[in-house]
Amino acid sequence: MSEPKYRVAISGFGGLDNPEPGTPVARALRLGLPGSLTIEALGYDPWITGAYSPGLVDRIHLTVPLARGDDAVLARLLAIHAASPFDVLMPCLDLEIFVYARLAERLAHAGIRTLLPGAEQVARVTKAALPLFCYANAIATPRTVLVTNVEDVPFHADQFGYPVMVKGLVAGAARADSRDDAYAEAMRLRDLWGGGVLLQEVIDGDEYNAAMVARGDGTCLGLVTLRKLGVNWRGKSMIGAVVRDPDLAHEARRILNALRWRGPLELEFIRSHKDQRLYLIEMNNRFPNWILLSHWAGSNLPAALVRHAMGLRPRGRLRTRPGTAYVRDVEEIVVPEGTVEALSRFGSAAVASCAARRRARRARPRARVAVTGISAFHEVAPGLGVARALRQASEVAAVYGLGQSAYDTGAYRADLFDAVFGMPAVGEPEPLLARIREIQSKTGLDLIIPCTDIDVATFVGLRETLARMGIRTLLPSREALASVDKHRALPRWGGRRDWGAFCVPETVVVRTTDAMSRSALAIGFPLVLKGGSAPPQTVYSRYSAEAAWRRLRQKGQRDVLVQRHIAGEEFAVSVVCDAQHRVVASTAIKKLKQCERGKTWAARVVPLPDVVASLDAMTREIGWCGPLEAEFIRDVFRERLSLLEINPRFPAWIGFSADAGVNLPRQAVRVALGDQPEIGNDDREALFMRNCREVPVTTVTLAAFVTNGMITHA
Amino acid sequence: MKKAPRLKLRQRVRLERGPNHPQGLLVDVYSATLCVCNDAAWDLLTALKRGATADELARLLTARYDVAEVTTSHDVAVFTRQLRSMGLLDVGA
Repeated sequence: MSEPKYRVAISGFGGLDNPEPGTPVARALRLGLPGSLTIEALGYDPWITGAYSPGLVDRIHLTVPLARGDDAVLARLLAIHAASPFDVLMPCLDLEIFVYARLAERLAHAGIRTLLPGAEQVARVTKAALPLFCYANAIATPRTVLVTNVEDVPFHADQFGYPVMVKGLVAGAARADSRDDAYAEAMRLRDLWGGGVLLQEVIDGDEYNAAMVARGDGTCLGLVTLRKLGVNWRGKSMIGAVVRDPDLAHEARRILNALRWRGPLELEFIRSHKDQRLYLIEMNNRFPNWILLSHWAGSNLPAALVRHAMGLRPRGRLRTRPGTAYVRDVEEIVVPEGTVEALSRFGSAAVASCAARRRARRARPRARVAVTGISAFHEVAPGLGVARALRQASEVAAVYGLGQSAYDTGAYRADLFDAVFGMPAVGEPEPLLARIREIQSKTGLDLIIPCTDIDVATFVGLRETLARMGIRTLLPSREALASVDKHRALPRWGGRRDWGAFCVPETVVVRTTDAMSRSALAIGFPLVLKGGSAPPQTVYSRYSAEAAWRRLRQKGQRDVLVQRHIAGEEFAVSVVCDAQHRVVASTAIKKLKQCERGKTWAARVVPLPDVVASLDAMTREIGWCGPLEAEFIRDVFRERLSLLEINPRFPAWIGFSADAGVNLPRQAVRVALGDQPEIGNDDREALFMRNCREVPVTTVTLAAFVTNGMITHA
Repeated sequence: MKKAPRLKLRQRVRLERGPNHPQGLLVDVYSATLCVCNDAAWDLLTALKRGATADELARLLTARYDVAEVTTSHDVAVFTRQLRSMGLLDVGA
């Protein structure tokens, strides 16, 4: 009997660094459904970067916002179905489940199948309903309080004590260590979702999740249980492994039986270190974003759902393999601008790929290059993009990663690195040099590109020693590095220095509350506060400025930059300077989409020759050598570019420079080897996009890095 | 005389040692727990993979590490108790 044709529509391809489940659901279907499969991606704006992943979906369609009402949503969906028919609809966003549950019957009448709960069931798994549901069914859960007026959050948070979890009514959660943190997070969630917030007791323990597809009669088609092994700053699992935990499975099935759920469901638990009890902390009415793991574990739940929705018999019993694990890294792609333009104009577009760039004229591969900053665990580090660019450089014979821990997500990227080596923690130079000697003796390493601010500073100090070892670098002097320190350069130049193509906004470094208040009065609101690795915060009042200042100080930030807020579009320019401090290669981009931490997740190349010329004057003045990135904002009022930040290294988006034809990391290698740069033509019709991508690993591989400090891919 | 029970690692335990991890790893695939092993632990685990009594394990350590049997018996008892508390050991007839 031949395989049926599967035609599926899926939503939830956005989310940037906090990926929505639609992309991994689609990936699971591609891997788990044999035969003919077409996938229609549904989204609310063109920047659903996951949908552009090569070979993943067939078409992208813009749907109407849910706020327009059920009739409008249904009308648009039926129009999409008329043009690009599909048989199964898989909504993957929390708010959509309410709407599509109501529309299920009307969708079925149009020939569109769903596997969704009834409206009553949906209401039972809301975050606000969790405490009552758990009480009624004797399920252990942390103490949770709904605070409808966020102004009351400090009072209630004080009653809990700290830390406390602050959770949005729809999505989002953060751990608050102080009253200021709790209030700031509550305001942020209220601005996102409206309404109040939930405060929840923090339970110290290990996190476990259970994903399932429920039939509606209290049983499930399949169940996969996960232990979170690595959780990032958002509390999201970046590394996880399938477990076979009888207690967890039993509790998950007991809850399912009480819910009488139909469709995908995720249950989140904490197993307390104190009493080993499982506490249910959240229920989600859709697949989780780690669901691709279910395919590698032998229980592809999205595929099981589609077949069930279509009335097909299951393909054997779903048996889950414990020990299967995943690491979440990033995928960088190039998208023809025509695709995004068509989607914006017509509401639908077929997904096309950019033609593969012709490789540069063949050179003899001779450089064995190591890069640092190879993780996307908390935020995307530049070493990943540098490695991707170096893979396209014919001068490069091998690329090695220098990682910090088993949590460095790039360590498991066999497509990027020939091997990855664990490095000692930043500190004394001798252990670092000893490790580099060891790596050099194993690999013949002869060039290092440090890719984080800390690594650049460290390797600048070791430059001469490395040169004596026969390892090249392309780095500035200590003095040049000090001169671009953001705490010195921006305040020194702010409001005074005009570089021609750009100026520097007024910037002050503050170290005391009084200085903070004086700066705010002098510069005027709104202001931007920057400190350490925390995302920049825009504040509009003295009260919020002081609260933001206190939060930064509580997190250990001594020097805080205060800068006038400028509204406008953001740009970035990355350059490579030679030993004569001249800019020998550059790429300029306009940032089209940024994550919360300010990293670029979509961009296009733009010509900024005047800016590059001004940067050339700057690098000559300060005596710069090596990579450098400058970030700008174009003031909508004054139509001038203002310099926001200088980074003494390549940016995280630098892989795009290879796609665009310039390949700055390759130019850096050529210059370091004593060759002239070899620049191609900019491709200005290609857009850069990034999305998350899970990589299968085993728990043994994870452990190998910890014990041996090395993973070999080649 | 009553026969000493045979101790055996459960199937969910994997032992790994190789170029990437010469120290030896115990992996519990059910709970995703990972443990690094020293040489003595590795010797015991390898024997427990095949199955062994507590006395056999103590004698193994005594022979390999030249330590008195009273010490090795105690160490084996502590070690196997730890494995049992982690749910990794079967105690047979």
